[in-house]
Amino acid sequence: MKDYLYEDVSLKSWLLTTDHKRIGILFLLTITFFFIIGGVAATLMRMELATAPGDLVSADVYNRLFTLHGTVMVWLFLIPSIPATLGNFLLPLMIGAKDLAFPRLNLLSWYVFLFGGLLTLWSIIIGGVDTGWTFYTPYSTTYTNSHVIMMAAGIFIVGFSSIFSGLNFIVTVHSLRAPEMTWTRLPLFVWTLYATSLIMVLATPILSVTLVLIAAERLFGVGIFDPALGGDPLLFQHLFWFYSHPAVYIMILPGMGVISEILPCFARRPIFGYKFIAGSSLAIAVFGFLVWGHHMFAAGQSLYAGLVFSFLSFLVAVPSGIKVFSWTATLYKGSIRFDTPMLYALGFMGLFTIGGLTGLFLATLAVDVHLTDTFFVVAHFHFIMVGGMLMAYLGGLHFWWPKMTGKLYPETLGRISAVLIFLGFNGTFLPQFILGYLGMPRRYYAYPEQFEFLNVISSAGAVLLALGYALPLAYFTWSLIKGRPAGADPWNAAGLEWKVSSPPPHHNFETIPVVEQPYRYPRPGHE
Amino acid sequence: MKTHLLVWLSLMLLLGLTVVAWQYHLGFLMALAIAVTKAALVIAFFMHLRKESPLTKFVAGAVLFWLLILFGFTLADYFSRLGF
Amino acid sequence: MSSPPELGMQFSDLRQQKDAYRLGAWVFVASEIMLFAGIFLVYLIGRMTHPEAFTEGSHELNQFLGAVNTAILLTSSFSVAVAVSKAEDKKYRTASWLLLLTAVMGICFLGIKAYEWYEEYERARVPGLNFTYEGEHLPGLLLFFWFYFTSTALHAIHVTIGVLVNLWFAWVCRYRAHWVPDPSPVVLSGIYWHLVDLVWIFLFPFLYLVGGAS
Repeated sequence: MKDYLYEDVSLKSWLLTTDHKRIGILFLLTITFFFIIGGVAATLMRMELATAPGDLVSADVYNRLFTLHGTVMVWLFLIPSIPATLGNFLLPLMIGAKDLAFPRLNLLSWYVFLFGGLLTLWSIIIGGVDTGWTFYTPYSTTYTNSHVIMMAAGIFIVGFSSIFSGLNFIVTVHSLRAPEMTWTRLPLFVWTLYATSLIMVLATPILSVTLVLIAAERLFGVGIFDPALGGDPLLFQHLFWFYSHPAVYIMILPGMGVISEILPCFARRPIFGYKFIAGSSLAIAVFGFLVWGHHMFAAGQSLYAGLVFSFLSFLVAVPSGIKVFSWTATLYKGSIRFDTPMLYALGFMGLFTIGGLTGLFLATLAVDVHLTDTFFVVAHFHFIMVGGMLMAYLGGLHFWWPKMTGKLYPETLGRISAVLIFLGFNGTFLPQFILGYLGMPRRYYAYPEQFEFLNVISSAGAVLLALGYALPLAYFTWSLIKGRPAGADPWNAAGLEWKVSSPPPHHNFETIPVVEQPYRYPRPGHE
Repeated sequence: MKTHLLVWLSLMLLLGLTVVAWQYHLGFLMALAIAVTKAALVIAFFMHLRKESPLTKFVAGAVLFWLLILFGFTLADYFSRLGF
Repeated sequence: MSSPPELGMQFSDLRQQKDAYRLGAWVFVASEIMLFAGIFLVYLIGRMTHPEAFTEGSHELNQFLGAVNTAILLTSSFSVAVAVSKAEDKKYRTASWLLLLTAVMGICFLGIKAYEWYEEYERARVPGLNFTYEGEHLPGLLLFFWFYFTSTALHAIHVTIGVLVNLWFAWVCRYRAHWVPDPSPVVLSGIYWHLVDLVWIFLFPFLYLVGGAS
């Protein structure tokens, strides 16, 4: 019985595969490529900001850099990151299924993603876009001369990939669970994927509409958003954030799921408050749709709408808090081992908490007026999206790498990378909170002398961060060739995915697997 | 078959009604109410939502809920800002 | 244990497969509804901002043909609903004829729609192609006609796909009924066609019936 990697090694068998595990790997390679591109843009930006005057790049190039960085990182890396790679690979394994419900749709999702991603890349190569990833109108529709339509077309297409994955996951969770896999035995990672899929299916169509409207206003001069043509720029922000705020939860919920898998395994304790964590994932997905107006406090929406959106934004803290407390309680009296995935998970907990709490500052109407469009906002959402999601993604990748490839990575280097990333991240983004509070606006390539000291610290931190990211790239590749064989269950972990060999066989399970209670730690009969 | 025929007849009747309402200037809300009724008939009887599983009904209910969010919150801003 | 040929390897039995397809279709419908909802929302804001222009634009449309097209689409929805219940009773021959009838009605709809587009083109009302207007409602009227063409074109794309799907299943039910031992695919194509109908139920009053008869 050959595993999924060696069952057929021809290129054709990879490009036409409908195996969810192989599609997960295809996504992994693709988004790593896009991550590097987005990372290079970030590096250039931090280099420019290391000194006060604008000397390295021109203002115009800087505008294109942050647009590139935002667009690529949000749509081509973070949105598909955990769902399309780890989610694709693990969802059927975790629920005891042989594949997703619609394997061919899954492959189509990758091709659509690749096509949309390359179109976006092409728009960057032929000159780029300078609007920022938010495409705010009327600048994006009336004034800029950059390649907005092509980039919008790329993102529009990528959106369908998201919808397809979401649809596939929802149906799979409902109809393909093994007979004994009841809803309360479902791994929490699956719960978060389900919640994420809801957002993908229900919010992404609105993004598609919004992008089409931008193209229409640019091409035909239709007055939808531009007040000079009788339109309303706030309408754009309503539509854009109706998608993009829930999309922020696409970019954190799966990370929360990964953490809920890692913590019990390395604390050797069952997860605390299983039902609360599962329920809070759904709550976050729903609440996430009720708060988009907090992006528009300073944009001129009605005061009453602002009040309501501010109040509702505070509510999101409740399910998030439930999660953090449950994770902490899971650690209590555990016999904790600090392996690489655990270091990432602990880093996640700290950084996500800071990111979440600073979100409350921004949800407060009056404070937000002071902080809107400053580096405080930049720091806040990087704490969630990088400190949260990217840490969780790397933690998950380390946790399941032995399962995906059958090989072990060098543990010491893994720990070094986790610590480097944690330190580098804090070095980069903690100073930005202060910079923002002091009034440094985002999206400028030059700034007054007085901000230079903190910016130098931030850029220095970014160097550490870049090192931290380069390390796993190197040792993961190395482990493919030289890594020791992992065996089916290197962490002595609970969960169906560890019951099959590593790498898993082509159709996952020979017979219908036996399902036990979730998170049975310590493992009875094993320790 | 018989139900389907009845539903089709009511749909045609409602189509006539919406045109008459237009001729008598009964306004947008009337037209919207008729359209919603027609849509409900199609969903319940032609798409057999009535006989579908609770799960499918849940999906339909979820969409309705999300439509309310989208329209409710956006229009709330417009009404309180511009006072249409 | 041998499994029936139409069973995908990821499913354990036909019932599970049927449930998965059914749920998938409804989730797809949900996503499509959100897509059109976004367009309708923008329409609503545009209409509230430019009430006179939208009334004027609406009066320029052909209400009679619009109503006829609505009747055609409602009737086709009826025929596809009957076709689905025939297919579920394994009466594939009748189902085939009804699906063909549905497709023909879809083609009639598209023909009338194309004629209307031609009328508006003659009147120089196509944004990006020949829109010219000298009156007082300029930005609003352009917006209205942009909506008109975008939404009807998007809808027409859906109709075209639906027509092709109906023709395909009409052929399958007539000549290859053994391909569909389980009528699920026909049910799914029916759900899709009803969605097309649903969208038009809203488009008709939104586009053709603004502001009352002149």
